[in-house]
Amino acid sequence: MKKNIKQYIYSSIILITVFYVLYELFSTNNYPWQWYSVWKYFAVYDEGKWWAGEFIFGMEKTIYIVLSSILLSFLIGIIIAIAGFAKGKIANGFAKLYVTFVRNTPVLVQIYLTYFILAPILGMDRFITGIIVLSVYEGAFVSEIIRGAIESVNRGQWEASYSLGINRFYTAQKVILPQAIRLLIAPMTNVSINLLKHSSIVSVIAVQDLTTVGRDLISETYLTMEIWIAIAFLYWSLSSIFAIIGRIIEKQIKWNN
Amino acid sequence: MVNIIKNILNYKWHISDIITTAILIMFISTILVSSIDFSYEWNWSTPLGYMDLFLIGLLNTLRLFFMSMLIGITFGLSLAIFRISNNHGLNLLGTVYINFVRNIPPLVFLFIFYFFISEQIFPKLGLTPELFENFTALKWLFGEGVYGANLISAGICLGLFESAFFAEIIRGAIKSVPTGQYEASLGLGFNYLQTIRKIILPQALAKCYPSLAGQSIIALKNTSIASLISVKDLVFSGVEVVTSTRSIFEAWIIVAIIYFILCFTMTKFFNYCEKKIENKYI
Repeated sequence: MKKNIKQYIYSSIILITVFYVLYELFSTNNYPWQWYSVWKYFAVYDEGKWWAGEFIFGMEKTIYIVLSSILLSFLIGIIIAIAGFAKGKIANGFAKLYVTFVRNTPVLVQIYLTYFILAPILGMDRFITGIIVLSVYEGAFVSEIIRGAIESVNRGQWEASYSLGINRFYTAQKVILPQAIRLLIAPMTNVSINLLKHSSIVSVIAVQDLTTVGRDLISETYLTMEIWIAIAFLYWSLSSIFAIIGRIIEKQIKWNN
Repeated sequence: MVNIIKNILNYKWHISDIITTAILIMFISTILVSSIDFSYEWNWSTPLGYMDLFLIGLLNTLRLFFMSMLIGITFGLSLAIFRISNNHGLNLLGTVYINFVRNIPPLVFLFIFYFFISEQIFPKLGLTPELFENFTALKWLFGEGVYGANLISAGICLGLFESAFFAEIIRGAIKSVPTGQYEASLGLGFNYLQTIRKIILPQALAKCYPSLAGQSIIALKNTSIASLISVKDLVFSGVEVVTSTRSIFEAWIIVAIIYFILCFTMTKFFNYCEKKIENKYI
């Protein structure tokens, strides 16, 4: 009991000091906080109706980019993982090359490379370029995750199903994948949160996502801190939603097995 | 040599090889066919003449990387110790910080804190561009003039950002050390900090080495974002070369190759170290 009280005193002292330091930092400078003028970018009430603000439009675009690149990156990841597992050496080599190249260059550089070199040649617009770069980048990570999940299934499972006379394809489909998919869900939520975070980099090629909306609004209104904090909050809530959805799916799959 | 050629000639094509090659040939031929209309004059000599600019960019990228690693590891270690401590206040602080930072994009974090640090904190501390002009040591460490202050605040921001990730990795490793180790060392008369420092951390750090290495490569890749707040790193020098010479393709290819070489050698180096550590400690 005595120890508990001591601990509460310690922790409250620490928290009060931290809040005091933050307060000092934020208040004594000359930054004019104008939170009241930020709310209208979330939603506006006019003519008896609620109208979505700029932030909501940006968020819509971000969600669209993230969801489509989750699907595409999963597809690319599966293809690369299959190529990595296949018996052909050229396919293996290609998969290895792809993964090493993509994992060892920054997304920003990849976006510039694609946007300035491939996009004008193939005639892609910036929105599609953003989606393709994000999914190519994250596809390499997804393929590594899938490879890890399949490798972590016991080798005995392969051998047992071979000895039962099941061929390679059916073994993979009926025996290995159901076991591997359970291991995939947690890393895939991680990947989708990563995609959400990387999707902000797409703003450098002027795709109208949440970050670009924020930049435009700041250059219009000079409310730098308020708008960036609001955008950080929006990103934080989006990725929390992703994490919650991932946890629900994980629980569901555990129930079914 | 003869054997290798023989192996290549005798190679039996698996179905996956055929599919891969077909897809690659299709992709490359599409690009070639569409680039017939798109005339671009390759000119490697002009951007290669700007190699000094690229080298300055590389130097600044490395500066940013080392700064962010230094701040990230030290701050991340203290955050990890906050999170495993019994003190509720410290625990809450660590949890809130890590949860916040891990869930927002690095770009947004950089924009918030770069503005905050460079516009509000640096003037208070008296870090001005003139200071960088006067001290050669500062110039050597952080580059020249206005860009020096930019580089420092970008490095601090990146370090604060990475620290949350390092903290989670280190915390996981510390948790994985069996509790018997704590009890034994407390029983031998070590106090809490000594236990952490002398018994737990050496074991934990040897265990989490691979993920720390992976995270530090991610940190190196994240430094590219600093170019968006006009720190003169590699990407920024790429933009400069593009705007001054109009050789778009070559400049970006050079930047990508430099990043690739940097990260790839680092990966190989970390793998080599990992093997050494495995032989020694585990």
